[in-house]
Amino acid sequence: MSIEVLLFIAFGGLAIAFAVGMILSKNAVHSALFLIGNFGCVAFMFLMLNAPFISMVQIAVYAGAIMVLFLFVIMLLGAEKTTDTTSQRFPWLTGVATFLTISLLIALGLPLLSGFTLPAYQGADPLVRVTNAAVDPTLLISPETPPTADTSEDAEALPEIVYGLHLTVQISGGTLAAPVVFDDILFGETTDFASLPAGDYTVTLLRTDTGSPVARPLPVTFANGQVLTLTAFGELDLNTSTLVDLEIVQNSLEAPQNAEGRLLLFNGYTDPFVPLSLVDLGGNRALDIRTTDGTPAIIDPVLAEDIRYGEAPIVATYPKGTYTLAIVQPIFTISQTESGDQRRTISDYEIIHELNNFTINADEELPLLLVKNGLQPVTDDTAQPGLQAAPIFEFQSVVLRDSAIQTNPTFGSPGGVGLILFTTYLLPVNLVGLLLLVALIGVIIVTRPFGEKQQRRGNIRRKVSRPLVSVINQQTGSDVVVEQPKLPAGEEQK
Amino acid sequence: MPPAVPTEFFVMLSMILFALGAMGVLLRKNAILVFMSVELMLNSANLALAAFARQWNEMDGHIFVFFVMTVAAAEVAIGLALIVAIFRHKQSINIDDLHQLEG
Repeated sequence: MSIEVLLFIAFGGLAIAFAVGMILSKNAVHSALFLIGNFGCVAFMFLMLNAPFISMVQIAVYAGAIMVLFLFVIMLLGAEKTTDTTSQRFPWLTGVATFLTISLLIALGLPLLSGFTLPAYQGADPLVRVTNAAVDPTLLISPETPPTADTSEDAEALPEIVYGLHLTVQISGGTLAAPVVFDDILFGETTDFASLPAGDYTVTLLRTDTGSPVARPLPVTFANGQVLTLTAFGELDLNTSTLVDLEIVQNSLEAPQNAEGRLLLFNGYTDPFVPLSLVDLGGNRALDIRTTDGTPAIIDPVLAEDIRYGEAPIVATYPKGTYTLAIVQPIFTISQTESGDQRRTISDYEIIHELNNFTINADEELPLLLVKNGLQPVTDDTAQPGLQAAPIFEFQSVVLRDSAIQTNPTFGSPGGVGLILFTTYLLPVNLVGLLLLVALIGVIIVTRPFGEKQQRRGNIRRKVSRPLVSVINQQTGSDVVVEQPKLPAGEEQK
Repeated sequence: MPPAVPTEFFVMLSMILFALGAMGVLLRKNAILVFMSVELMLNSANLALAAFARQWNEMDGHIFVFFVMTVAAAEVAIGLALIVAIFRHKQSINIDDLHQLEG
């Protein structure tokens, strides 16, 4: 038996004991104190049910405010002694009440005792979206409009040339009557989420321009509660004109803890043998490497390492803030061992992509796709003086910032409850506030002294002045009946 | 991963507390104690709501618990004011003495 079950039994038994004590206690103050104990136990139950906000409200409002009100009224009325468990008028009520209570308990508990179990939560319908990170290398090799290289200008200033495919993605099968189509997705674009019923589907990737499939139809299974990003990546193979792969990136709507943001790092960089790392460069904006015994190591904080091509994304959490991040790849040197095998050792690291002013937000999941795309001129140092330096183009790495997913704040937290309370349930919240106002006014009206009493208070003032009048009357010889001043019945009690 | 304590346990505890509250309403003749028993019943319903909220992973149950608490607070304020008014009038809060619907 786990510690949770033991705690449940301990506090549940205590709650029941407090409830019984409340019902049977002869003293109303003791009853109120027993009820406070019961509310405390139930607050603990709320904590066990992942409802910390409700638990705190339970203690503050129920065990605090409401029970103080009860105790105050008990003291005010002097109604501590309540020897009233058996009624004089209905002596048979005790037995009937007990019988009714046990019947209620049996009626409520019979389904659970007879082995009925609640169905497990299946989760919401799966949400699916598509990101296009696929490159057409035919366009890279013979671009229709070759980029004009101007070596006098900074290479960074050149416009980024996008050679990605325009993709159309069809999802068919399952219980769908017609396939779900994400039409004409540009390179680097991410579609909105589509909600599909859970089931088995087939994903087909098509070129938007020719309509021909660029990948083999991929069978996929979507389960309830999943949030998925279908990531089409890789280069179009020239011989088979099919894409390399389609990766299903599983997102999560669950918020990371401690004001951190979550990054999903996916490597679609077309070099299968180089594992990449994501490094926080820090203030000096340069990669700090320390070499000990010929083995280099990165000193800067590493968010994620060993991000391998085409494999499931690496999940990294990092505190919210703005950083200078860099995608780093190792440089290998190949050495011969004595047995004649080739051995690859990391000799250095180099930055292949830098992310300046990169903002990580809390309660957000940001999928980052690292892909190669476009061309970047490289100044040819080997060009002989006097000759025109021919620009050499090489792949440019891009990081696709997949549109971030706003994660839900933690279940049952004040933030989570407050978010729903003031968005979906704004009108009921206002109505409940109005109800409290009406209750406040109602209390004032109910406890107000009756109108007659106020009139009598007027009489008191007259009666007080009467003795003087009667003295004058007596001296003048008139036969006025002298009344002794007396307080009204209600006032005498005090 | 299934939770350590099944939802059924909480529902059972909630039912027991509800039945005890109902018993208190039927048995006690002191108006304040009847009120306290009603609070116990409301609280046990809250427990069931929170348990089902966890079961279905929906925070709407917590919102309902919140509303039930607010309504209970309003109800207690009005109810205790009524008890005070009745006590002033009748010098008693035994509900057997209030069987005649007269002023």
